[in-house]
Amino acid sequence: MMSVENTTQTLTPGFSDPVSQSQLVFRCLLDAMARPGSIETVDLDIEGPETLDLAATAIALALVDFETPLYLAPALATPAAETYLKFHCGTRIITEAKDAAFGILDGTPEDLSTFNTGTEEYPELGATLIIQIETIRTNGPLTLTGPGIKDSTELGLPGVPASFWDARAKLQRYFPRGIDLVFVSGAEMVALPRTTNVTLQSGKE
Amino acid sequence: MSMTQEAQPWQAPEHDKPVEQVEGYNFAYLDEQTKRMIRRAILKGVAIPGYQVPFGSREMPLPYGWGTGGMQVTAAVIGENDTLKVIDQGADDTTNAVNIRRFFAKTAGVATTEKTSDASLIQTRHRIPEKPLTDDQILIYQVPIPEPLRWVEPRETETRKMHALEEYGVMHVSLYESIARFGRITTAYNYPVQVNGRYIMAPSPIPKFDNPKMHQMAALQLFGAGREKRIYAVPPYTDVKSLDFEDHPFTIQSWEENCALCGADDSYLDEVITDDAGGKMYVCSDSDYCAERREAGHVGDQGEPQTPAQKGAAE
Repeated sequence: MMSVENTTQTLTPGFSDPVSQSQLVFRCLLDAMARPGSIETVDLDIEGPETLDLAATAIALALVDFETPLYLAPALATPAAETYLKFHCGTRIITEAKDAAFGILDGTPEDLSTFNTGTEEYPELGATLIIQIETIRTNGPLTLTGPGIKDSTELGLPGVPASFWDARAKLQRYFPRGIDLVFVSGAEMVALPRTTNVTLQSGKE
Repeated sequence: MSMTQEAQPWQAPEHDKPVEQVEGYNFAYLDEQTKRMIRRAILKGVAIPGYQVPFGSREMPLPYGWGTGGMQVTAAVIGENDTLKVIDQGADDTTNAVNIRRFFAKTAGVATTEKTSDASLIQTRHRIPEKPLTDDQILIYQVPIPEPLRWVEPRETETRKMHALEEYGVMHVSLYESIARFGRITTAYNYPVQVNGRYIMAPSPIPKFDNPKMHQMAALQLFGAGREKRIYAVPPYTDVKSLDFEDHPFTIQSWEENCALCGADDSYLDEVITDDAGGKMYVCSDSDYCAERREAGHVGDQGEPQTPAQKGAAE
């Protein structure tokens, strides 16, 4: 009985209007995924768990459910966050990165290859990672090219180490296998699907 | 009927009057769990351009072959502020288009339009509008057979492997056989394309006339096949190349005639039989494009002037 009381005390609401708000968040993410490098803002007020950014909470509420196991980085996996996501999404929170359809991380992972990249025959099984960072900027040092981008576009993701882009570029050789990334900061999100080529202008990070 | 009967002003038939949103359905008909599943498939489709993502296609209140795949994609994407246009072979006023438009007006209460430029979502059966689409629009195709390799390899297990290994030689062989037999590639619609230099994709049965519009299109293109349970996508500004050979380059259809109503020489024309004595006329397949041109004052061989000034001149 105690645990139930605790749960209800710490549990904050999810979407106030699930039908229209999940559609709104999905369209934000669809725009972001279709136009890599374009920064989309979730225009919603959700009182989510403290460790999660608004955009991360919103994406989880809109897209994660019992069919999609969710990996939470240890730093984010507070009891409040786990309870919130389990209750509102009906999802399983897992600790084995390989089995996750979605992952929410604080900063880029040390090793991308610990996540599922799908198979050549079923590349859609590759994970979608939601990565929380401090800020997202529209000006460099990253230059993006690929589907969804007219010519090229610039993006700044401060704090993401150069080694991460190297590791990601290596992973891209295995296309169509791959991992799709959504960087979030507060209410903002920017997506880098597996097809986006990222070049780091030399000497910067 | 008297021949001297005066022409009545045109009125929308009963079935095409504006409809009210009906109660008792979730927004846009599908339940939320289904929408989530479709939305996840769409996102993976966008991330892997041209790859067919399997999805749990639902039964819709109309038969397979009437656009159930396109409708499920539309239902997952559409929001309260969207304006929906639906075309069937380019026309807004054919049975399939009218019914699907009314379906979403009823179940989602969204605004609908026949104007290409006013629409934020366009669901289409077998055409791409003539007017170039913009960054703010999404084009949703109804797809009967999503697998371009199906005509050369009936087994799904094999075509899946062929896509995985980029083993597409057999597709070129089938086009070559067409050249060997007829002297040219005879495929006129559903002409296979290669997306972003990787996946070979069925563009749905659009005429090959429309294929070049898919290349580097500003709008996002989504494809839904209900019976075959596949969703795929082409992101904006993505290379879409129609398959061909150096000595047999890809070409599109052209006509000696212009549109008989609006005089357009750059649009896809339908041949319309006008009597049983061999009479015929060619008109734009895209009804909105044709109407807009006529409103702007363009008149074809058999068209009637639309603007007051032109009417005056004709009298």
